[in-house]
Amino acid sequence: MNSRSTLRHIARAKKAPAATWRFEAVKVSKSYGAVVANDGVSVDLNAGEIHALLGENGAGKSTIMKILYGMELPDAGHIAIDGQALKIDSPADAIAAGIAMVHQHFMLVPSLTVLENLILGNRRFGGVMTDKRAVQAEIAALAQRYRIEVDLQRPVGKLSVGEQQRVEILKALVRGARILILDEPTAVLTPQEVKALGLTLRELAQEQHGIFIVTHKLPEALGLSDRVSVMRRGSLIGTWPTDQITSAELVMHMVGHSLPASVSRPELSPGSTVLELKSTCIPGHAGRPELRDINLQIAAGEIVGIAGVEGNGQQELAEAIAGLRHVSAGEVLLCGDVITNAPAAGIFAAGVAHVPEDRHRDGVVLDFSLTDNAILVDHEIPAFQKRGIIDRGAVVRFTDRLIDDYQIKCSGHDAAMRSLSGGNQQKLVLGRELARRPKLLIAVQPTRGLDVGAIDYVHRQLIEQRSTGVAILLISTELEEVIALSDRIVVMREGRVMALPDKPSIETIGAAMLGSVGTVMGAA
Amino acid sequence: MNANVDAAVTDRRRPIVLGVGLVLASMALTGLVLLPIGINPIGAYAQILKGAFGSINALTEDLVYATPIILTSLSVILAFRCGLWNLGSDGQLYLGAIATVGLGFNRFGLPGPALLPAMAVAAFAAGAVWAALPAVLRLRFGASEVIVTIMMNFLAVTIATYLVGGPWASGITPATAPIVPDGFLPVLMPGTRLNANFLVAIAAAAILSFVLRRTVFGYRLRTIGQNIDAARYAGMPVNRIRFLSFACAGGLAGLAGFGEVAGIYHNLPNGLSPGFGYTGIVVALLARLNPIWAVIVALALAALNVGSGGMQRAMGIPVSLVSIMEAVLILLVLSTRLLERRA
Repeated sequence: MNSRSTLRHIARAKKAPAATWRFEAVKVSKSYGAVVANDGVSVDLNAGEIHALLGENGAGKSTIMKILYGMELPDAGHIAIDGQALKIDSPADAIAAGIAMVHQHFMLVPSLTVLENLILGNRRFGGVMTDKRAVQAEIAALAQRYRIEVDLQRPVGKLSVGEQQRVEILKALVRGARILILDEPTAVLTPQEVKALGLTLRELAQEQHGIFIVTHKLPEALGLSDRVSVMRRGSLIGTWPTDQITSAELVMHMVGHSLPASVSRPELSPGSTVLELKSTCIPGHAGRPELRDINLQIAAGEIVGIAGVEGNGQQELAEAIAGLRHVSAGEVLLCGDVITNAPAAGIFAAGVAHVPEDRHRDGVVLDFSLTDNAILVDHEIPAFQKRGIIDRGAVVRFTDRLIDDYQIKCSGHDAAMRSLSGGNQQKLVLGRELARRPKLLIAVQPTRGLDVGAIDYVHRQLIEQRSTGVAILLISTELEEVIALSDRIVVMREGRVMALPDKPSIETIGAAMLGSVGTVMGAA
Repeated sequence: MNANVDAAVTDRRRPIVLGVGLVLASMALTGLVLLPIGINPIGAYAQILKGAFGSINALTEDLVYATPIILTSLSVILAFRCGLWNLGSDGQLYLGAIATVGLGFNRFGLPGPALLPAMAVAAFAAGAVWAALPAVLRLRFGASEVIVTIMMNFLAVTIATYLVGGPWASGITPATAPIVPDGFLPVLMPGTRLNANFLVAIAAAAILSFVLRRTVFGYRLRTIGQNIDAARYAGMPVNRIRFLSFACAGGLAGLAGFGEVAGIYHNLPNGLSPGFGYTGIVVALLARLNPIWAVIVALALAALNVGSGGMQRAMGIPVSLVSIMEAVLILLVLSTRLLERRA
């Protein structure tokens, strides 16, 4: 390589591979308000290693990675390299320290070519005048070395998602990164692309790069990594060499062992069928799974729990029943009436209540007062409005009653929703939905992000509703929650509902979540 | 409990204190610009006050100037509250004016008492249609309403210029022929230009405030503006409400054009609007999208503009001084808001 080479540091590295190093986060804690995202998390990464970080959404794995990349600052704990504390206050610091992050949503300029994206904002390639040909030759050599196949002259907007990801990895290497953090790298890839990614990562590891893979997909974590760590509810459960742990064990760690102090659940014989799905199909969309041939029945006074690793169609199922997603085939019946593809407002009015998974996005308006939030769904019913004019007195009384009944901690009904803790926000959502006296309650991740007391409270409310004859569809990735509350448990995997034997053991459920047992419901 | 009440009162007082403070600060800063060129800022401000409040005529002129600004700012507020940018209220004002003049010639022979209401309705409708176009392009095809509404401003001005110079030309002044006297808005105070459209603007502000705070429609609109995902989750007809509010926003701006034609000029002159639509955006932002505050801010800006005319006549200071003061004020307001967001 010529001496003016802008990539000469890599040329040097080729002759003498970088020495070994150890990168670690030490006892890192981070809270957002009342929610503890990371609680004393320690992870480490060695040169030449691929380390997978497993956990459900909200387990805190993204937070720890953001801290490593300087996007968030820890409340406690520190980052160190070779035992020496490293100050990373911004992504710029991280990049300077040789840390790069490949985000789930790529940070590329679609209208520029691959080459332009690679040298964009990179001082080493000079300012106004850039010798593109020399730079191109060197980057091409670099790409070839790591078997990253990509046409440098094509605009990024014309590349497939997999190719764009390769550009992102290449960008990290061009910037001299030795530590790569990949956030859900396989979420958008085809199986072939996943395989190609694996080869590239392996190649990188052999050159003494270190790689963190953040994922909630087990098979890929096992297939790609040397070591695997599991996070749950903000804590690191453990780290194991990948070849010394089974996928069943990992699932147990992800969803939790211990059954909670049991919620007392009176025996009840279920009543008539409230919700019935007949061969329902929901088309996949933008990387979301497709749902195929769902058959499911829920009776009055019955809690049906849906277990499963996140992203296997649970959210889509809930949204389809609530009228927020199009059903392409099959029927959805509520108490015998067809509600397939009815408008959401009509489905609510027919007696469905919905505690949505993403509370902040869907369930509340953070900048509204509690009164405004209390009538989010029911603002049109006669109790709250007359001839289009909202009866403010009635709304205030209703809100005060919710605050009272559900012990919502707040400064009053005019407080902004934003000022409440996650648990109190969820209490208001739950109270609002239950006040509508629904026939069917869809509760998606009803305890996500809540503290122990609030979780217990929500659980007791669900059981109480069951006693009054409400049919409840409980969707949760917390296996212990599903087991503690449900009369019947099914598992969703890859867009299908799998039936389980009566009173399944936690092992049986875990196995079904991974796909070794269980039969598709409704299939002969 | 007592502390809570106190906090609530200070909360309510805070924007007023802040507003007055910012005005004083911007006056002080503008004064720093004046001093080096040998003008006594205190004297200049006194002339502005005199020009704005010194006579009955000055006072009514404040209200006359504020009228279209109130309406265009309400237009911006209505669209913004459901999450859409209406930068086209200037164009919608022109369409309202065109409809007013077109009907005001009374070539259809409407009976006298029916003419004025018909003109108002036509102006509202014309503004609404002009706004409906970018709304459809946005809601159906995702075209940015910011760009489309701005471009349509130029189109509206061009149409007006064509009508003034061509089919509706008076042949004497650069304006259309006059409308019939049945189409004149009543004057509220004889001998001044203050006309009934000022009351229309005040009523519109009161109605909009009520609709936003107290009606189901306003509730839905606010929800969509604050969190469109929550609105969808709750089953609200999101696109219908966004379309309706954007069209009504255009209608409000159209009423501003109605007032200028039927209340002031009694014809459509070339260059009818000295940027009323754009001033409306400024007012809406300074008023934090609150319709009642928009009236107050519009009155203040109008007084400043009218007063600066008096200052220019009395002291020979260019009116652009006032533009500097307004610009400083806006920058100060925006920067305090940035600080608030950080806190």
